[in-house]
Amino acid sequence: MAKVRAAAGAEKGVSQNLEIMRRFRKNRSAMIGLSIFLLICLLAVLADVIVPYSEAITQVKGARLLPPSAEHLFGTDNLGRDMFARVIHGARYSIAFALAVSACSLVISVALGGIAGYYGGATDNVVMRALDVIMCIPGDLLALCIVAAFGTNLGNLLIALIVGQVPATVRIVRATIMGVSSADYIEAAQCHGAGDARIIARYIVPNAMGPVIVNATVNASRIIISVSSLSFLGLGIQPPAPEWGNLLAGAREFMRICPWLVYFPGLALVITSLSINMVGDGLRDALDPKIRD
Amino acid sequence: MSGKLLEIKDLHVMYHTDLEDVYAVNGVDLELTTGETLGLVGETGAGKTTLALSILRLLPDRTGRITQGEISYNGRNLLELDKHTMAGIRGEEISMIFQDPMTALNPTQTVGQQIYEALMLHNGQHLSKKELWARVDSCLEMVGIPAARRKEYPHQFSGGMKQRVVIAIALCCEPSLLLADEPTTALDVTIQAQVLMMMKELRERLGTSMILITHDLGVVAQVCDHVGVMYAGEIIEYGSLEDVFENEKHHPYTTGLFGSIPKLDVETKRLSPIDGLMPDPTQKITGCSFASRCPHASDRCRREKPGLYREGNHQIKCFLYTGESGQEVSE
Amino acid sequence: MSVLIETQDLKKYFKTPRGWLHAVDGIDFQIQTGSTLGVVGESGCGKSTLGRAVLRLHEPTSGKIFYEGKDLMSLRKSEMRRMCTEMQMIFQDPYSSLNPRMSVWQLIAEPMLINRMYGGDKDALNRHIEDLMDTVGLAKRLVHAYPHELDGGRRQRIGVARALSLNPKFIVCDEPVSALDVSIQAQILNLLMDLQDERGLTYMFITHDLSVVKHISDEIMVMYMGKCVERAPKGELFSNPAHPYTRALLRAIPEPSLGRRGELQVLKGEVASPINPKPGCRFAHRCPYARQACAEQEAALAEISPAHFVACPFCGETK
Repeated sequence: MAKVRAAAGAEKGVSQNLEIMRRFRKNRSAMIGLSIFLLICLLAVLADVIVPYSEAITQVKGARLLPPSAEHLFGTDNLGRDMFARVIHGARYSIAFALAVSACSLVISVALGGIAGYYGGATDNVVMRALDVIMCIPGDLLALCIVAAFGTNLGNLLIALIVGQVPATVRIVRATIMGVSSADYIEAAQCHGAGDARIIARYIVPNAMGPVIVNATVNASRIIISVSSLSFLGLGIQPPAPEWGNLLAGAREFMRICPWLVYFPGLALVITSLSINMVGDGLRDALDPKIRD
Repeated sequence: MSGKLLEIKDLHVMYHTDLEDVYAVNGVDLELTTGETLGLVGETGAGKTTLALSILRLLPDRTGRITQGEISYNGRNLLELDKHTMAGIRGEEISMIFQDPMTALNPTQTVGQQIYEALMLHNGQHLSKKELWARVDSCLEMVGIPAARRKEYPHQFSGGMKQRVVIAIALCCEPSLLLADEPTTALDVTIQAQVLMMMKELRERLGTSMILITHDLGVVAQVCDHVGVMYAGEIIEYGSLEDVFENEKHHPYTTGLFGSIPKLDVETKRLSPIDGLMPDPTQKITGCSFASRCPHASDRCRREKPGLYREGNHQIKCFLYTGESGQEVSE
Repeated sequence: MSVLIETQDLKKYFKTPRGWLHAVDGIDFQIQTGSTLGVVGESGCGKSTLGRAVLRLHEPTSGKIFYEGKDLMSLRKSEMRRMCTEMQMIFQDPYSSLNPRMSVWQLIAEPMLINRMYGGDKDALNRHIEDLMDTVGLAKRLVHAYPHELDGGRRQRIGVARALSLNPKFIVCDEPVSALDVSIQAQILNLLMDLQDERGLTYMFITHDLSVVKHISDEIMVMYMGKCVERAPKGELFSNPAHPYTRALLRAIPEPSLGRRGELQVLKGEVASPINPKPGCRFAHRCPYARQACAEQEAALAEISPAHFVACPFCGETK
């Protein structure tokens, strides 16, 4: 049926990117996911406008463990801090961290995976076997070890999470690039005298980016969870800075009597990660030419 | 020849998607007598496969829909049967061979198991396990594969051998109608010759009727009794092999199709292809579907649908022969 | 007439886990300027690899290639890359051989941009693209379309326009019509033949379809498992096929006429594995006339009549 529409729309010159966007927009759950995620990002960006950061860290003696009310939308914690402010400001940490880790590990993975996939042979072997060694240890556990060994600060946390992410992503990048490199149009380009640089820049990268970006998106939701897990264990972002994971950790003791302390950060975590996953799934469907309307 | 096995009347099938409606089959009438082999020829998008899938009611659930018409098999309208009865007919009475033997087999089961399963699903005679396995062996031998190979997996077979296994599965329940959708297109010429000859022999031995879908007029000439030429979801010419291959009168599309094939026995400097492309199947066509590419097209062809010209069994949907009245003419 | 391209004992082996795959195993041919050599054979016989080896898209394992007397195997990679203005290729699959992210304009311009044909002169480039689209029968309104919006025939016309864009003399056509419907196939075949007449192009036309190869070629080479089993001018090959494989191939084609109905000759068995092939004639295990000697020694190509070469020492006896 692809061909059918083909004839009809040919003159318009709909590039593949536009076509992908059209298909993405048609996917309802992906659009919902995207709206939710954008909303959360907006809240994170405007956090200071909505509630000043001071509210999130100021301890108010008289207002401990208050249930949700008009004044404190999400209630207050055991030190009298406003939970609403803490959850909103926590979004900054979670999302900024997820994006930073995603972006860094993507850049590193594309470089390593690209080299391994395009050149193949011995280069491929060296890169992949080295990563296999890292792959032997579960990503989160590895991150935990790194932070525990080198100390808990933001830099180490960032490195730890990136190291945990890279091996799996490199594999995906490598496989994608190997697939694209064997396509007929690469051979055609060689036939027209194109050199390596041009083939990589104009043929391989644009065609390989799709699946890689999908993967990075889905990873981002996992990273949010990882950051929170590490914080929950006390190895991530340190209190009093609010982060969803350490909010949950702090609420552990009061879970029975003040369940809202768990509900709101937990819910924020679930919704964010779910919305990113929905976007990722939508992107994957939109990019897959086999799934046609 | 005995009675009618399959009769299709005014069948219309469309695919409905969010973006557009595709008119895949637009009014097909077809008859098949018992023991006959009908070749359906046409190019990509002519609606050949859709027609076959409609007969088995295997159109994609969400998008494909039979909007009009009747398919009667042995006097029963297949379109009115419930799902369960239809499942019983599939495989047992009507079975289908798909184009690509590489993907039609389950790679995790031995070929023997796959034939066994087909037999077991339609085990009307309540054969024992042992008897069923004996049938598996005889099925394999029927298609020229030593019975000992039943324990092998599909990947151990070559393309031609896999297609033989597919044929064995399709024929193991001795269906009375076989729908073969481009069964030899994926095969090399010498292997194609092997498979075609085998199919021909089996058909004669088992008395199976067959609808052979292909784009290759050569295959039709070798195997079929009757030919239907499909274009844009319609059968625009139908007749016996002699009618279509040797008669003087043809639908302009059929003429174009023959003109497009380089011949081995005649030297031609230039081929005479059909200009242009198939019409866009998302548009409902008023008038003759071939009018836009036809060298003989007149205003009338673009305005109204041509009737059917008959000469004996030979039918052509074209104003060139139906005469000025536009009525069905017979001589 | 002069010889445009020539190979001598050209070989291409691929390394596989099970041993060496002899894809092309010692092929010699010459193509005269302005003529067409048809290469036929079944899948896996090495015909596509041969086409790529000639252009050094697949680096040949050994052997020599001469283009206008120049030894291509002695060229460095960068020098070979510049040969693309002389030698081009049209690919089999018009779906996968076009970068899906480029528009028709970009696709046709790409070879010229790579080779800096017009420098910065965009007008001249545009004019050339328009000319090319006109030549291959693509409507100008499609210039901004993307391949996924076009049907197979139009895509293959883009492939032809790309191959022509650098004004090459020699084009390897790798099954350019097998993915197309018959009526479209005929349009493309006519186009290729017209272009040859107008521009004096030389083709190496690879296909599995004997009727197509007969239509377009001047000389035909039949390949079986990496070897050339027969080579002859087309009239001679079709009227006097000498090798048992050629004969079997000709008799296996279902012809669209009723004259030879039911006469398909069935060749027993299937192609053997091309990995570490056994010595002797590669067709021996399927050959109805095989004898002891066939399995023992390889049959060399011998000229049985002018320009008709056959790799079967017994072909005179088996007619």
